[in-house]
Amino acid sequence: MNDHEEIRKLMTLAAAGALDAQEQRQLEEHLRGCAACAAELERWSDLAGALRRLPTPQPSPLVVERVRARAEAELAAYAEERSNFAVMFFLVLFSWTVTLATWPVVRLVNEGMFGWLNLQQTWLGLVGYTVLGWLTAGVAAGLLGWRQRGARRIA
Amino acid sequence: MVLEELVGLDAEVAQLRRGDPGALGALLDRYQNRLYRYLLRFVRQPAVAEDLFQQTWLRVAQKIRGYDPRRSFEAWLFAVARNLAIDHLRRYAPESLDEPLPSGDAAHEFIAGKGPSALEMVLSRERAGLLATALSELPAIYREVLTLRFEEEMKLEDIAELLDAPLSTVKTRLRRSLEALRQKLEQDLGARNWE
Repeated sequence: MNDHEEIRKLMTLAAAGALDAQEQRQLEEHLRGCAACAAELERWSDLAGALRRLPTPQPSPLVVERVRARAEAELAAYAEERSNFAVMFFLVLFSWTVTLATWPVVRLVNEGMFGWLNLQQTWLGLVGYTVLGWLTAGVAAGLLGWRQRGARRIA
Repeated sequence: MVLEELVGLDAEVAQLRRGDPGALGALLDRYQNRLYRYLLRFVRQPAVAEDLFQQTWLRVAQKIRGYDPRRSFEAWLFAVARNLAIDHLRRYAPESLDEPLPSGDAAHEFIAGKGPSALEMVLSRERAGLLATALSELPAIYREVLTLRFEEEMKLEDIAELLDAPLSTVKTRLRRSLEALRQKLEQDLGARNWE
């Protein structure tokens, strides 16, 4: 590759502002003694300038508004999902706490101080008590969700 | 981008990551024209560009929590748009996304110092329409790198990050795309004069 070919490659990159310091020095040195290449660089720079000045196409305002509404709805849906998750987490924690905290009281009331010694009955009773509690909570959550869906449909 | 703008951008991105819809609106205002222009240059059809524009912002709303704030938001945003555009081109447009093989060394074909060239005539008349047409007829990856560098004024490093390519590849692609654009312009104008 001769010197001019190498320099012509550099000129394209110079117009794109993509030369490193060494390439820039090499180009400048060459241009000092070569009017033809200097003129050629000007042409590349004109082309780069024309590219920079191309009119900017714009999306229609209708599309932008639609995008804004849909993207905001997406964010709102995510926020609601997160909030529902937090509520559900709290409810689960609360249910377990209530179940485990009230179970000894139930046993105490039903079987007196020494009812704890009958382990088999203790565990079976706890399972039954938990299932009953969770069924009640499930029905309540279902009713709540159904009501929320209805409210959203009306909105 | 000035410091004030950068701080504003960082704040908007942080707010968006917390799920603030107002921040999304602000970012949309900030980037709508640039992002649409990039997509339009890439896929060429306005209807497709608008559809991808919409998909990009929805994807941003869905994925913003996965965005790493140490990275440039701009590069991330354009990468989201780029992935969608590439998927579209692969699926619907019979257009190769590979880099075309150089037809000889294009630099040979421009002869310096011959007086006003066809290119100068185009540029001196500011025929932006002709330039835009010539640009739209280049291969997709050339259109992309030209719009990123000259219209979006992205740094070479950011372009390399966006394209997931080494800096040297970006420079080579930039050079070849400029050469191809110039060749196209000279051919087009030559044909018109001849007619």
